[in-house]
Amino acid sequence: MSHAQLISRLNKPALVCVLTALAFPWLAHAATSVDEHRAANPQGAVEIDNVAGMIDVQGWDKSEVAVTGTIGKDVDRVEVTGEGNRTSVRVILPQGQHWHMRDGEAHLVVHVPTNSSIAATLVSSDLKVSAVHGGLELRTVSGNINAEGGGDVHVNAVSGDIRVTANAAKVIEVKSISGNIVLTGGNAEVEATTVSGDAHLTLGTVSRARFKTVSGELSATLGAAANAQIEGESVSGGVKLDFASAPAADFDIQTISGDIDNCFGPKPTEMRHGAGARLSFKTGDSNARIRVSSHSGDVRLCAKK
Amino acid sequence: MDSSAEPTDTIAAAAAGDVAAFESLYRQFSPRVYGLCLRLTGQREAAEDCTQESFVAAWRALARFERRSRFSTWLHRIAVHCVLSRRKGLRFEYEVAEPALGLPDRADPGSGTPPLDVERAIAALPEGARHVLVLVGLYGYSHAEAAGALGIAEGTCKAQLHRARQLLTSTLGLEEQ
Amino acid sequence: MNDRQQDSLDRLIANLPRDIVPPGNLWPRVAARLSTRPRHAPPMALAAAIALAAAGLASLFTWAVLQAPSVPRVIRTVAATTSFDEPRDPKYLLARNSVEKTFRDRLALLEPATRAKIEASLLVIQKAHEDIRKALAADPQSPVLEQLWQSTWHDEFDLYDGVVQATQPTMTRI
Repeated sequence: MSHAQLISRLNKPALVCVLTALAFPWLAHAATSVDEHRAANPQGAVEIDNVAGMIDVQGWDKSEVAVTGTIGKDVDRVEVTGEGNRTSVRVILPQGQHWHMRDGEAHLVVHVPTNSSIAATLVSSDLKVSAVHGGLELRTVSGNINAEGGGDVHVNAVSGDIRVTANAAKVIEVKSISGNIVLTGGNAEVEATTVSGDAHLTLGTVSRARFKTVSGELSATLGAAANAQIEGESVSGGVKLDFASAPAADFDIQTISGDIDNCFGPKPTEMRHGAGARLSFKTGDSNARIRVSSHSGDVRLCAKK
Repeated sequence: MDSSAEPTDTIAAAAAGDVAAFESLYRQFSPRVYGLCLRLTGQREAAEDCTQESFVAAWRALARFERRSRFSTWLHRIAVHCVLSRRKGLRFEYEVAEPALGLPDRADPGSGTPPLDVERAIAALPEGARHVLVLVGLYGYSHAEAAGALGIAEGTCKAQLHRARQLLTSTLGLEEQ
Repeated sequence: MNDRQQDSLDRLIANLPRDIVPPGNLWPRVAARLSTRPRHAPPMALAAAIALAAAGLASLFTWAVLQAPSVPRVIRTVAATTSFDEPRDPKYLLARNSVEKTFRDRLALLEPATRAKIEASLLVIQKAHEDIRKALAADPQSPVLEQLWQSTWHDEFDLYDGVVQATQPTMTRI
């Protein structure tokens, strides 16, 4: 073997380590593997707590919760416990551990019975949920959430972005302070709230909906059921409602200093003394009610047909 | 809370191990416990679980029930503890499509607001506000009692009740009256 | 919320039934578990267990109230300057200030980028609240402004509560 060949052979493992560390930086910090399994109720609840890293929840057809992945050296352990029909997966940090140390991250894949419901509380960890048919109750400070569920959905993020698909939900509640929201829902009762993030909602035919923004832009594409109660509220952010067809409803749109634009029905009335605009009209014979109140945000209504 | 006479003899018999007597207590108090659990959890399955857990816990502790409070009050505290200990995993479904049995489905002629709308509005409240409204507004707890049961400060309890009322007033359209 | 609205709401709630019959017969499932009754348990065991559980669940607010310095960082002076329907109950304001203190304690534990986003959002809410307050001062009869004013007041509390709730499980372990 030549000197060059020997160097090449010796450096290969080192080269692999360097490349691996560059591709997966957390592994460079002596990560510990996790492989935990616990029998679980096929329609039970799974609770997940994590501070930092990434949790990938995947539904499967086994009556078991399996947790695999890695934890940083500053993570004490991953605790998987069960009581009754509930299974808990908790990433435990030692006392006094800061929450944003790189070696305090856990990167886990959590397999759960597909009909489980999931309750997750995260600080800066990202979360992904797929192939789960139960309800989702997800809360994060700064992690991003990407979830697809079969049941009802309640998601609350402070600065993380939220992307949710919940076509079979009866109730959807999505709240973000500064993160953006992208929601695809079916014929659910919906509440979507943002402070400064933007919200894009694609919904089916809703019976009750509440949309709220402070300064973010909120746009919703939806249908209105008979007797629908739809409310929108904004301080300075724009609100845009695109209806699948012009609903039969009692409309009351008010803004103090923003504009109102309506592509169907009558045009808004300018208030006296420059005190904003109001659009108030009723179409058809229905108890549906559509109300939007805004301080300075613009309000736009449109219907496809 | 429960204003009927205290079933002292039945409680004593159940405390001594008489299962039939305890069943009698179950028949008498389960609607109240279930109503409390259903309003606090907003979910029928969780309410059924909590009702069962409450009575099982009550059976186990009955020998130590010292009668310093009414039996219903003592049972209430056990039920609230059961609900709070299940905090996570709740609220996966609202009772929107299927009202709980016993709820009137016709409007009260005097109110103008269907009771089911009120129930739904309560179920849709944020958890902390809902817990306080149910205990204080519906079941007559004082702020001190509710705060103790929920493990929160009395001032926080008042704040949550105020918030619950604000939200319900808006949701039910009462500001238009 | 005025007195008439509160009376209407209280009447609606008072008319709700207290008792709801469980939809199924739960007794068999209860009865099946009655054979495991413990004997000679220490008299204070259940009370201690319940107290411990209750303390562990939501004791943070109580702790924050007890541990708060005599003067909270932010004193709510809005009550002194507005005539709108804002709660002026000192106990309510103390509780709200305590929640804010807990929020700031938790905020300090978060990574700087997240902290900055949250503080920026808080400023957005506070500015919105102040803008609405000024508009309402000029047009005190506006129901839209009244609704937005209350809403932004609660948005601030929701932000504090959101951060506290999301970090609560971690606090109970570390």
